[in-house]
Amino acid sequence: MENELACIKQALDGSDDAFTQLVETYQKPVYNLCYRMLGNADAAEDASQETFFKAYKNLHRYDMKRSFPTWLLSIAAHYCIDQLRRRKYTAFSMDDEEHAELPDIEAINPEMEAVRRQGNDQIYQLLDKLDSTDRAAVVLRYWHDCSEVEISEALSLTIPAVKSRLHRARKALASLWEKEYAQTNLERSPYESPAF
Amino acid sequence: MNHQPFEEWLLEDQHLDPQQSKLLQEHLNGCSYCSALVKVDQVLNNPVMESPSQGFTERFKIKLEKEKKLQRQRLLLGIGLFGFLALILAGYIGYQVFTNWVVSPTSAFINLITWLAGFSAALETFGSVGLVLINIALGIIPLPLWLGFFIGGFLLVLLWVVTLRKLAYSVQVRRLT
Repeated sequence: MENELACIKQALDGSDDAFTQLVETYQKPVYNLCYRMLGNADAAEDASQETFFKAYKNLHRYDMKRSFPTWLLSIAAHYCIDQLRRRKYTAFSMDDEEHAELPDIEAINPEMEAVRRQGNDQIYQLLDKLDSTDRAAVVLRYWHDCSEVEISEALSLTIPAVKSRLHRARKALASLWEKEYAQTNLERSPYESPAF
Repeated sequence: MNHQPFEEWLLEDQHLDPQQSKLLQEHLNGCSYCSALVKVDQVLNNPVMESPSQGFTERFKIKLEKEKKLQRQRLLLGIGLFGFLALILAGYIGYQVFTNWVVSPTSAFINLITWLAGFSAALETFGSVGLVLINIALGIIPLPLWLGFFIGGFLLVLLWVVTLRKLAYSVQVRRLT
Protein backbone atom coordinates (compact mmCIF):
# COMPACT_ATOMS: atom_id res chain seq x y z
CA MET A 1 0.00 0.00 0.00
CA GLU A 2 2.79 2.42 0.94
CA ASN A 3 4.75 1.26 -2.07
CA GLU A 4 1.66 1.90 -4.21
CA LEU A 5 1.32 5.46 -2.88
CA ALA A 6 5.02 6.06 -3.41
CA CYS A 7 4.69 4.84 -7.00
CA ILE A 8 1.69 7.12 -7.58
CA LYS A 9 3.56 10.12 -6.17
CA GLN A 10 6.61 9.36 -8.29
CA ALA A 11 4.41 8.93 -11.35
CA LEU A 12 2.78 12.28 -10.59
CA ASP A 13 6.27 13.78 -10.51
CA GLY A 14 6.79 12.47 -14.03
CA SER A 15 8.36 9.06 -13.50
CA ASP A 16 7.11 6.71 -16.23
CA ASP A 17 8.93 3.82 -14.57
CA ALA A 18 6.87 4.27 -11.42
CA PHE A 19 3.67 4.21 -13.44
CA THR A 20 4.88 1.13 -15.31
CA GLN A 21 5.29 -0.55 -11.94
CA LEU A 22 1.61 0.17 -11.25
CA VAL A 23 0.73 -1.32 -14.65
CA GLU A 24 2.74 -4.43 -13.76
CA THR A 25 0.88 -4.75 -10.44
CA TYR A 26 -2.67 -4.21 -11.70
CA GLN A 27 -2.57 -5.60 -15.23
CA LYS A 28 -4.30 -8.84 -14.23
CA PRO A 29 -7.41 -7.41 -12.48
CA VAL A 30 -7.87 -4.74 -15.15
CA TYR A 31 -7.45 -7.24 -17.97
CA ASN A 32 -9.78 -9.72 -16.29
CA LEU A 33 -12.52 -7.11 -15.91
CA CYS A 34 -12.15 -6.07 -19.56
CA TYR A 35 -12.16 -9.69 -20.65
CA ARG A 36 -15.33 -10.47 -18.70
CA MET A 37 -16.97 -7.33 -20.05
CA LEU A 38 -15.95 -7.47 -23.70
CA GLY A 39 -15.60 -11.16 -24.26
CA ASN A 40 -12.44 -11.67 -26.22
CA ALA A 41 -8.74 -11.46 -25.66
CA ASP A 42 -7.95 -8.81 -28.30
CA ALA A 43 -10.68 -6.43 -27.20
CA ALA A 44 -9.70 -6.98 -23.57
CA GLU A 45 -6.05 -6.23 -24.34
CA ASP A 46 -6.97 -2.99 -26.16
CA ALA A 47 -9.38 -1.94 -23.42
CA SER A 48 -6.92 -2.61 -20.61
CA GLN A 49 -4.13 -0.76 -22.44
CA GLU A 50 -6.53 2.15 -22.96
CA THR A 51 -7.55 2.01 -19.29
CA PHE A 52 -3.95 2.37 -18.14
CA PHE A 53 -3.35 5.16 -20.62
CA LYS A 54 -6.43 7.04 -19.37
CA ALA A 55 -5.22 6.50 -15.81
CA TYR A 56 -1.79 7.84 -16.79
CA LYS A 57 -3.30 10.97 -18.33
CA ASN A 58 -5.69 11.57 -15.43
CA LEU A 59 -3.48 10.54 -12.54
CA HIS A 60 -3.51 14.11 -11.23
CA ARG A 61 -7.26 13.70 -10.71
CA TYR A 62 -6.89 10.58 -8.59
CA ASP A 63 -8.03 11.11 -5.00
CA MET A 64 -5.38 9.51 -2.77
CA LYS A 65 -8.02 8.75 -0.13
CA ARG A 66 -9.71 6.30 -2.47
CA SER A 67 -8.51 2.83 -3.33
CA PHE A 68 -6.28 2.93 -6.39
CA PRO A 69 -7.35 -0.48 -7.79
CA THR A 70 -11.02 0.52 -7.44
CA TRP A 71 -10.26 3.75 -9.32
CA LEU A 72 -8.54 1.78 -12.07
CA LEU A 73 -11.35 -0.76 -12.27
CA SER A 74 -13.91 2.02 -12.51
CA ILE A 75 -12.05 3.51 -15.48
CA ALA A 76 -11.97 0.07 -17.09
CA ALA A 77 -15.67 -0.58 -16.35
CA HIS A 78 -16.77 2.76 -17.81
CA TYR A 79 -14.58 2.27 -20.85
CA CYS A 80 -16.01 -1.21 -21.47
CA ILE A 81 -19.60 -0.03 -20.94
CA ASP A 82 -19.00 2.73 -23.48
CA GLN A 83 -17.52 0.24 -25.92
CA LEU A 84 -20.48 -2.10 -25.50
CA ARG A 85 -22.94 0.73 -25.99
CA ARG A 86 -21.17 1.95 -29.10
CA ARG A 87 -21.33 -1.31 -30.89
CA LYS A 88 -23.54 -4.29 -30.50
CA TYR A 89 -20.84 -6.69 -29.56
CA THR A 90 -20.84 -9.95 -31.46
CA ALA A 91 -21.25 -13.04 -29.37
CA PHE A 92 -18.08 -14.42 -27.90
CA SER A 93 -16.89 -17.60 -29.53
CA MET A 94 -15.96 -20.32 -27.10
CA ASP A 95 -13.67 -21.73 -29.77
CA ASP A 96 -11.20 -18.98 -28.92
CA GLU A 97 -7.89 -20.82 -29.02
CA GLU A 98 -6.30 -18.80 -26.27
CA HIS A 99 -8.96 -19.77 -23.79
CA ALA A 100 -9.53 -23.38 -24.57
CA GLU A 101 -10.58 -25.45 -21.59
CA LEU A 102 -7.15 -26.47 -20.42
CA PRO A 103 -6.81 -27.50 -16.79
CA ASP A 104 -4.59 -25.23 -14.70
CA ILE A 105 -1.33 -27.11 -14.11
CA GLU A 106 -0.88 -25.32 -10.79
CA ALA A 107 -4.25 -26.42 -9.51
CA ILE A 108 -4.28 -28.94 -6.67
CA ASN A 109 -6.94 -31.03 -8.39
CA PRO A 110 -6.82 -30.63 -12.18
CA GLU A 111 -10.21 -32.28 -12.63
CA MET A 112 -11.87 -29.89 -10.18
CA GLU A 113 -10.10 -26.98 -11.87
CA ALA A 114 -11.44 -28.09 -15.26
CA VAL A 115 -14.98 -28.26 -13.83
CA ARG A 116 -14.52 -24.82 -12.29
CA ARG A 117 -13.30 -23.39 -15.58
CA GLN A 118 -16.18 -24.99 -17.44
CA GLY A 119 -18.64 -23.41 -15.00
CA ASN A 120 -16.93 -20.05 -15.53
CA ASP A 121 -17.11 -20.40 -19.30
CA GLN A 122 -20.80 -21.26 -19.08
CA ILE A 123 -21.57 -18.33 -16.81
CA TYR A 124 -19.49 -16.13 -19.03
CA GLN A 125 -21.68 -16.92 -22.04
CA LEU A 126 -24.70 -15.96 -19.96
CA LEU A 127 -23.07 -12.75 -18.69
CA ASP A 128 -22.87 -11.64 -22.29
CA LYS A 129 -26.67 -11.49 -22.35
CA LEU A 130 -26.94 -9.08 -19.42
CA ASP A 131 -27.15 -5.31 -19.60
CA SER A 132 -23.60 -3.85 -19.64
CA THR A 133 -23.91 -2.07 -16.27
CA ASP A 134 -25.38 -5.19 -14.61
CA ARG A 135 -22.52 -7.21 -16.05
CA ALA A 136 -19.97 -4.74 -14.71
CA ALA A 137 -21.56 -4.93 -11.26
CA VAL A 138 -21.46 -8.75 -11.28
CA VAL A 139 -17.85 -8.88 -12.48
CA LEU A 140 -16.73 -6.32 -9.90
CA ARG A 141 -18.59 -8.16 -7.13
CA TYR A 142 -17.60 -11.74 -7.86
CA TRP A 143 -14.35 -11.56 -9.81
CA HIS A 144 -12.85 -8.62 -7.95
CA ASP A 145 -14.48 -8.99 -4.56
CA CYS A 146 -15.56 -5.34 -4.55
CA SER A 147 -17.98 -4.25 -1.85
CA GLU A 148 -21.31 -2.65 -2.74
CA VAL A 149 -19.85 0.74 -1.76
CA GLU A 150 -16.88 0.24 -4.08
CA ILE A 151 -19.15 -0.86 -6.93
CA SER A 152 -21.36 2.17 -6.39
CA GLU A 153 -18.29 4.42 -6.57
CA ALA A 154 -16.89 2.64 -9.59
CA LEU A 155 -20.10 2.69 -11.59
CA SER A 156 -21.48 6.03 -10.30
CA LEU A 157 -24.56 4.32 -8.87
CA THR A 158 -26.29 4.49 -5.51
CA ILE A 159 -25.83 1.57 -3.10
CA PRO A 160 -29.52 0.49 -3.36
CA ALA A 161 -29.15 0.58 -7.15
CA VAL A 162 -26.11 -1.70 -6.92
CA LYS A 163 -28.00 -4.14 -4.66
CA SER A 164 -30.96 -4.13 -6.99
CA ARG A 165 -28.78 -4.65 -10.07
CA LEU A 166 -26.93 -7.55 -8.43
CA HIS A 167 -30.21 -9.22 -7.43
CA ARG A 168 -31.67 -8.69 -10.86
CA ALA A 169 -28.53 -10.01 -12.54
CA ARG A 170 -28.43 -13.16 -10.39
CA LYS A 171 -32.08 -13.87 -11.10
CA ALA A 172 -31.55 -13.31 -14.81
CA LEU A 173 -28.49 -15.55 -14.80
CA ALA A 174 -30.43 -18.28 -12.98
CA SER A 175 -33.24 -18.10 -15.53
CA LEU A 176 -30.76 -18.25 -18.40
CA TRP A 177 -28.86 -21.10 -16.74
CA GLU A 178 -32.11 -23.01 -16.26
CA LYS A 179 -32.92 -22.50 -19.92
CA GLU A 180 -29.46 -23.28 -21.32
CA TYR A 181 -27.82 -25.81 -19.01
CA ALA A 182 -30.42 -27.27 -16.65
CA GLN A 183 -30.68 -30.45 -18.72
CA THR A 184 -26.93 -31.02 -18.91
CA ASN A 185 -26.45 -30.44 -15.19
CA LEU A 186 -29.40 -32.49 -14.07
CA GLU A 187 -27.33 -35.31 -12.63
CA ARG A 188 -25.19 -32.89 -10.62
CA SER A 189 -27.66 -31.63 -8.03
CA PRO A 190 -26.56 -28.45 -6.28
CA TYR A 191 -26.43 -29.44 -2.63
CA GLU A 192 -23.88 -26.87 -1.59
CA SER A 193 -26.00 -23.80 -1.42
CA PRO A 194 -24.27 -20.69 -0.05
CA ALA A 195 -27.39 -20.29 2.02
CA PHE A 196 -26.57 -23.45 3.99
CA MET B 1 -44.16 -22.81 -9.09
CA ASN B 2 -43.87 -20.61 -6.03
CA HIS B 3 -40.18 -19.92 -5.30
CA GLN B 4 -40.73 -18.04 -2.05
CA PRO B 5 -39.26 -17.96 0.53
CA PHE B 6 -36.45 -20.07 -1.02
CA GLU B 7 -35.49 -17.59 -3.71
CA GLU B 8 -35.27 -14.85 -1.08
CA TRP B 9 -33.10 -17.04 1.18
CA LEU B 10 -30.73 -17.73 -1.71
CA LEU B 11 -30.59 -14.16 -3.00
CA GLU B 12 -29.97 -12.77 0.47
CA ASP B 13 -27.39 -15.50 1.26
CA GLN B 14 -29.20 -16.07 4.52
CA HIS B 15 -27.86 -18.38 7.19
CA LEU B 16 -30.40 -21.18 7.51
CA ASP B 17 -31.23 -23.39 10.46
CA PRO B 18 -31.39 -27.22 9.90
CA GLN B 19 -35.15 -27.15 9.40
CA GLN B 20 -34.93 -24.42 6.75
CA SER B 21 -32.02 -26.25 5.07
CA LYS B 22 -34.13 -29.40 4.83
CA LEU B 23 -37.05 -27.47 3.35
CA LEU B 24 -34.73 -25.79 0.85
CA GLN B 25 -33.22 -29.12 -0.21
CA GLU B 26 -36.68 -30.56 -0.79
CA HIS B 27 -37.63 -27.53 -2.85
CA LEU B 28 -34.38 -27.69 -4.87
CA ASN B 29 -35.06 -31.31 -5.83
CA GLY B 30 -38.18 -30.23 -7.67
CA CYS B 31 -37.35 -26.70 -8.79
CA SER B 32 -34.99 -26.21 -11.71
CA TYR B 33 -34.99 -22.39 -11.36
CA CYS B 34 -33.85 -22.37 -7.71
CA SER B 35 -31.33 -25.14 -8.50
CA ALA B 36 -30.00 -22.92 -11.28
CA LEU B 37 -29.79 -20.03 -8.82
CA VAL B 38 -27.69 -22.19 -6.49
CA LYS B 39 -25.48 -23.36 -9.36
CA VAL B 40 -24.98 -19.80 -10.60
CA ASP B 41 -23.97 -18.74 -7.08
CA GLN B 42 -21.53 -21.62 -6.83
CA VAL B 43 -19.89 -20.66 -10.12
CA LEU B 44 -19.86 -16.94 -9.31
CA ASN B 45 -18.23 -17.65 -5.96
CA ASN B 46 -15.44 -19.62 -7.64
CA PRO B 47 -14.35 -17.23 -10.36
CA VAL B 48 -11.46 -17.93 -12.71
CA MET B 49 -9.23 -14.91 -13.32
CA GLU B 50 -7.99 -14.30 -16.85
CA SER B 51 -4.49 -12.93 -17.38
CA PRO B 52 -3.12 -10.89 -20.25
CA SER B 53 -0.52 -12.50 -22.50
CA GLN B 54 3.16 -12.07 -21.65
CA GLY B 55 4.69 -8.63 -22.22
CA PHE B 56 1.64 -6.52 -21.33
CA THR B 57 3.74 -3.90 -19.54
CA GLU B 58 6.20 -3.71 -22.43
CA ARG B 59 3.34 -3.18 -24.85
CA PHE B 60 2.01 -0.43 -22.58
CA LYS B 61 5.43 1.28 -22.61
CA ILE B 62 5.42 1.21 -26.42
CA LYS B 63 1.86 2.61 -26.50
CA LEU B 64 2.83 5.34 -24.06
CA GLU B 65 5.82 6.34 -26.18
CA LYS B 66 3.68 6.39 -29.33
CA GLU B 67 1.00 8.52 -27.67
CA LYS B 68 3.58 10.94 -26.31
CA LYS B 69 5.16 11.26 -29.74
CA LEU B 70 1.73 11.88 -31.26
CA GLN B 71 0.99 14.53 -28.64
CA ARG B 72 4.31 16.27 -29.36
CA GLN B 73 3.53 16.21 -33.08
CA ARG B 74 0.06 17.66 -32.45
CA LEU B 75 1.55 20.38 -30.25
CA LEU B 76 4.13 21.28 -32.88
CA LEU B 77 1.46 21.33 -35.59
CA GLY B 78 -0.73 23.57 -33.40
CA ILE B 79 2.13 25.96 -32.70
CA GLY B 80 3.10 25.99 -36.38
CA LEU B 81 -0.45 26.71 -37.51
CA PHE B 82 -0.92 29.40 -34.88
CA GLY B 83 2.42 30.98 -35.82
CA PHE B 84 1.48 30.96 -39.48
CA LEU B 85 -1.88 32.62 -38.82
CA ALA B 86 -0.24 35.14 -36.49
CA LEU B 87 2.28 35.96 -39.22
CA ILE B 88 -0.47 36.53 -41.79
CA LEU B 89 -2.38 38.74 -39.34
CA ALA B 90 0.77 40.68 -38.43
CA GLY B 91 1.50 41.16 -42.15
CA TYR B 92 -2.01 42.45 -42.79
CA ILE B 93 -1.96 44.84 -39.82
CA GLY B 94 1.54 45.99 -40.73
CA TYR B 95 0.40 46.70 -44.27
CA GLN B 96 -2.63 48.68 -43.03
CA VAL B 97 -0.52 50.68 -40.58
CA PHE B 98 2.07 51.36 -43.22
CA THR B 99 -0.39 52.50 -45.87
CA ASN B 100 -2.59 54.57 -43.53
CA TRP B 101 -0.33 55.96 -40.84
CA VAL B 102 2.99 56.20 -42.55
CA VAL B 103 1.75 57.38 -45.92
CA SER B 104 -1.07 59.68 -44.61
CA PRO B 105 -1.45 59.92 -40.79
CA THR B 106 -4.07 62.70 -41.01
CA SER B 107 -6.49 60.70 -43.18
CA ALA B 108 -6.04 57.62 -40.91
CA PHE B 109 -6.89 59.74 -37.86
CA ILE B 110 -9.97 61.18 -39.59
CA ASN B 111 -11.10 57.67 -40.58
CA LEU B 112 -10.80 56.50 -36.98
CA ILE B 113 -12.80 59.46 -35.62
CA THR B 114 -15.50 58.94 -38.27
CA TRP B 115 -15.80 55.25 -37.41
CA LEU B 116 -16.06 55.99 -33.67
CA ALA B 117 -18.71 58.66 -34.26
CA GLY B 118 -20.74 56.30 -36.47
CA PHE B 119 -20.53 53.54 -33.88
CA SER B 120 -21.69 55.83 -31.08
CA ALA B 121 -24.62 57.13 -33.23
CA ALA B 122 -25.67 53.56 -34.04
CA LEU B 123 -25.71 52.65 -30.34
CA GLU B 124 -27.84 55.68 -29.53
CA THR B 125 -30.32 54.87 -32.33
CA PHE B 126 -30.67 51.24 -31.18
CA GLY B 127 -31.29 52.46 -27.62
CA SER B 128 -34.03 54.89 -28.73
CA VAL B 129 -35.74 52.28 -30.94
CA GLY B 130 -35.62 49.77 -28.08
CA LEU B 131 -37.21 52.21 -25.63
CA VAL B 132 -40.01 53.02 -28.08
CA LEU B 133 -40.70 49.31 -28.64
CA ILE B 134 -40.77 48.61 -24.88
CA ASN B 135 -43.20 51.49 -24.34
CA ILE B 136 -45.50 50.14 -27.06
CA ALA B 137 -45.28 46.59 -25.68
CA LEU B 138 -46.03 47.79 -22.11
CA GLY B 139 -49.18 49.43 -23.37
CA ILE B 140 -50.41 46.44 -25.39
CA ILE B 141 -49.52 43.47 -23.14
CA PRO B 142 -51.19 43.37 -19.68
CA LEU B 143 -49.11 43.17 -16.50
CA PRO B 144 -50.03 39.56 -15.50
CA LEU B 145 -48.80 38.37 -18.89
CA TRP B 146 -45.51 40.20 -18.34
CA LEU B 147 -45.17 38.60 -14.93
CA GLY B 148 -45.92 35.17 -16.40
CA PHE B 149 -43.39 35.78 -19.14
CA PHE B 150 -40.64 36.76 -16.72
CA ILE B 151 -41.38 33.96 -14.23
CA GLY B 152 -41.54 31.42 -17.08
CA GLY B 153 -38.28 32.73 -18.50
CA PHE B 154 -36.64 32.56 -15.08
CA LEU B 155 -37.82 28.97 -14.57
CA LEU B 156 -36.56 27.96 -18.01
CA VAL B 157 -33.16 29.49 -17.29
CA LEU B 158 -33.12 27.72 -13.92
CA LEU B 159 -33.98 24.41 -15.59
CA TRP B 160 -31.27 24.97 -18.16
CA VAL B 161 -28.66 25.71 -15.48
CA VAL B 162 -29.67 22.68 -13.38
CA THR B 163 -29.67 20.34 -16.40
CA LEU B 164 -26.33 21.65 -17.55
CA ARG B 165 -24.81 21.24 -14.10
CA LYS B 166 -26.21 17.73 -13.74
CA LEU B 167 -24.98 16.65 -17.17
CA ALA B 168 -21.61 18.29 -16.66
CA TYR B 169 -21.33 16.59 -13.25
CA SER B 170 -22.09 13.13 -14.62
CA VAL B 171 -19.60 13.63 -17.47
CA GLN B 172 -17.04 14.86 -14.95
CA VAL B 173 -17.65 11.84 -12.69
CA ARG B 174 -17.24 9.50 -15.65
CA ARG B 175 -14.05 11.26 -16.68
CA LEU B 176 -12.63 11.30 -13.18
CA THR B 177 -13.36 7.66 -12.44
